[in-house]
Amino acid sequence: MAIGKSSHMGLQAQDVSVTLGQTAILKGVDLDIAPGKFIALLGPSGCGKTTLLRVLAGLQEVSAGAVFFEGKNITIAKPADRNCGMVFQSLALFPHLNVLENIMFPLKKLDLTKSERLERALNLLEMVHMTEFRERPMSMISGGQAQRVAIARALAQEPSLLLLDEPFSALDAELREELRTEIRVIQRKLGISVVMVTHDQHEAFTVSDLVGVMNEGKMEQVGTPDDLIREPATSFVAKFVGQRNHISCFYRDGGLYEAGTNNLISHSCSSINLSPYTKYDLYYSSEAINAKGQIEVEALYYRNLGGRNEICARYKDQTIWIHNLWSGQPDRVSFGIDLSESFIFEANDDD
Amino acid sequence: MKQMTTIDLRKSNLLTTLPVLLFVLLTSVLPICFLLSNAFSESGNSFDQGSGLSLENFREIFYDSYYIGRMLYTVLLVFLVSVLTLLVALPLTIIIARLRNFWRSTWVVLLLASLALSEVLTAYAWQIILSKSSGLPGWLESLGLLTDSNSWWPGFPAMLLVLVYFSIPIAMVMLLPPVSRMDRSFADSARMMGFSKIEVFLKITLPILRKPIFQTGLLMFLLNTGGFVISQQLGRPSDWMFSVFIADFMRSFNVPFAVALALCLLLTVVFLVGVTYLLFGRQGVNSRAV
Repeated sequence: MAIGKSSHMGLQAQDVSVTLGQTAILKGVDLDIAPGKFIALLGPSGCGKTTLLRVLAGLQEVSAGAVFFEGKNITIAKPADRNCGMVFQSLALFPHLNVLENIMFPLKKLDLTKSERLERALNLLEMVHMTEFRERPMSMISGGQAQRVAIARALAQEPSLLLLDEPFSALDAELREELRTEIRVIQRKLGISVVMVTHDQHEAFTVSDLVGVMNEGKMEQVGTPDDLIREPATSFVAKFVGQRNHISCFYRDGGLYEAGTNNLISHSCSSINLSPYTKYDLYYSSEAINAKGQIEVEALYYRNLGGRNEICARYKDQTIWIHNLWSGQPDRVSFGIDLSESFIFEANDDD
Repeated sequence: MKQMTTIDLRKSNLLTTLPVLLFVLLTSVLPICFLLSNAFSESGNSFDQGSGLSLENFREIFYDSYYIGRMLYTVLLVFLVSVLTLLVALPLTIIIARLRNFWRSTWVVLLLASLALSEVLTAYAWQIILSKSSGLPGWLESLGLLTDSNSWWPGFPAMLLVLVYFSIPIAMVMLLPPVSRMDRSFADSARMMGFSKIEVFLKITLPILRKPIFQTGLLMFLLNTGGFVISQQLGRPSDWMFSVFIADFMRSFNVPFAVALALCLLLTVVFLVGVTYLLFGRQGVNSRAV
């Protein structure tokens, strides 16, 4: 699709690049979200996901590319003209105002009477279960309550798009789970689109319709959680999403061998189209290992998770977890990898 | 292990607070007692005090409205200096706080360096800058921008300008840490809601920073109340602040009268600061925010 057109009423980022000084923060990112969908932007720290969110919010100018929302080109539109609300990582709740005043603050910019503003703010407080705390100063509410207030405030102007910048990162696991569910329920109820930045894979997968995996300023893959797990498009997604172990290898005479040592990884590669002596990156999970190979690792320690025995081992500079197929607790083990449970990509020249 | 009793705790608290109490006694209570004893002794042209208590000094101060007028003028002038200082220092501090680390550090060093200059040097430097012979008026005249110019000092504008100039670095050094710590998301958030930059400054930045602004303003007020060098060197006698009179009487060895004047000024300032604190100072803001 050519830049300059939007195919639907949802949110689209087309070939968006952001360069600050000499540093490219975003490198031609594309994103396409249908209306009413919940997408999580997932990636390691510094991959550009918050910058992309700020571009969508209008808080960060783009160096190239375009952003469309509801059929309009909003690339250079002011933040306030984008019909979106945002929950910042720090929440940015105004400390000199109480809970109710914080929620009523954005309503000052709407053409509403004072009683209408109050009514809407009270409805929002009810939605986030904070009615009884409406008179509390911000210093007198907990982190979870502050999160609810921030969500209510972001929804006060009734945006069609809600942007969440690592909203639950400062909360404990139980509260995160609770608020995740709540934000999903609110999103469904209001029918708005949500873009959430997170580095927590579990969070991204449990709450979102779609997940966009980012790395080094690029969008590696956008798909459902199932797509990302079953069909990773790039080696980064295969490694990052599945938390898989990595091994460099090459193909020769029907078998796959470890690069550098020529140790056998698997001799059943017939179903995969591989070129001889080309370097590949293989990503495998703990379950993909078998005892039919020659990859040697040093066992660091063993653990038992509900009857499932695992070995924490050192492989080159990586700490890897593999299923314990051996009796006892040997110091060194040799294993092979079942390729049907793994993902193989041609190695990047940069690696 | 034996538990500490309440009495033990009290003893321990007393021991730890004793040095502080001693310090306060030596640096505040004793000088104030000295002031009081001098202020209520008879005036004279020497440091020798009369033996008995006398209200003569205060009778002279309140004999007519002259000294009360000068004191009121000084308080209003210092208030004006504090407000002008904050009006200049706050926006400048916000700009510096947004700079990159290197430039911010450079500014902090420059500000600290300017603080190293004494009030006397600053006053002399400004006398030169504002003089016709080698300062701005002469330069502007030679450029044809001014005709028949005179030196711009002594005078009230020159004195006010230098008082504000001298206070700005101190105010900026005071304001920089809280301004730097202020979460920029506050402004981003308000911008997303549709508030302009001026609205963000007035409705968000100022209220959030009101505590450090108040504290800085108070410090400016207290610092300038006691200053007399700039006032004396750049103002006309009619522009002089109350401290100049105190210094003059000290120089002429009428210590009891000088001390009585100082005591009146001290009580006025304490009263004003107390009232201001009760009205505005106790409304602290959430420390989490800044």
